[in-house]
Amino acid sequence: MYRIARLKSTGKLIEMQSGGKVEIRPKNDAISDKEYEVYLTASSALEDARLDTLRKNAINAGYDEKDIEVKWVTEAEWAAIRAIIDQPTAEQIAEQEKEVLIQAKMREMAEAELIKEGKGKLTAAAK
Amino acid sequence: MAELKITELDELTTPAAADLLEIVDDVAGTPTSKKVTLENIYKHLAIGSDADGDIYYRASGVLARHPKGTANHKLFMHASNDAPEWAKGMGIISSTRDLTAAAGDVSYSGLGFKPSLVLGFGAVGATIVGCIGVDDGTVRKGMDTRTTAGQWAIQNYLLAFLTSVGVYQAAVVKSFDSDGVTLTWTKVGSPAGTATFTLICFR
Repeated sequence: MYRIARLKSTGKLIEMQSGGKVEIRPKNDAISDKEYEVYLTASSALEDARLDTLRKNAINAGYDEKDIEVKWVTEAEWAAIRAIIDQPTAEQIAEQEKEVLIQAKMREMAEAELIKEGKGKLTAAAK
Repeated sequence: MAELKITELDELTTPAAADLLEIVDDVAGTPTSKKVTLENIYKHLAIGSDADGDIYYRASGVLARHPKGTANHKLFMHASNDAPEWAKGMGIISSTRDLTAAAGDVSYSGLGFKPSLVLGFGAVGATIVGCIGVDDGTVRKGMDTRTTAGQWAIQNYLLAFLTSVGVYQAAVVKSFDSDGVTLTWTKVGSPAGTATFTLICFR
């Protein structure tokens, strides 16, 4: 299981954290019904606290508490969310395109320098 | 031989394994006085439902039995610092970081134990931005992809997502907690996107 926090208003993912569900041990004869009930209550409280970690993180990050939704999601649900966030942003695409241009420009300048120094003639001749 | 009380006998302060004690056998059936070596006393110690693999330790001033653990688990000191505990001692937390979020502390929970060392790695999907690092709360070493030259660089963060030159979000361990870890995130410039990362935590 996964825990997510997102904004109710926009659906924007604030944070995901994996795990957090308690693997409940089956009751055995060594413990009483009352002890097992205490164990189940404690396990449930621990899961609630772990889910609440994301709510507290979101509040600390400055989000409006009323606009924060925290919940458990399955692996399949998280995979669907992840597919969306793994899409590059417009800024990232622009940055990558800029990087390609910079690399090409640097290579062009370096080759021109080599030709000027007479070290690049073979390459030029080979072309 | 004159009768003496036990309290009047000479004291043996260095008992050996072959030394003898008196013992009453079959107390519930036909009680019979017998002798027993000290070695057989401690070899046949039994506290409760003893089983192979159990260990014995002191608890509240008396000898106690700690049941054997799961195969391949390791022995740790319990968080209460007064009893042994078998545990795997390793766990994984995966998470995301909105790189536009403000700098600050973020808690990660769900481990079930207090770690002492974290190995982290992550990436921003569909980009070359990625990093790997390790942090024990004091020493942190890692490396990240430097977008300008497409190279890796060494840095002093557990995680560092450098989206362009001088623009990044990076994290170090602030504290190891009873159920996870708290990271302090630093933000420089205006990085964009969402990083997905994994923390491998060691107790």
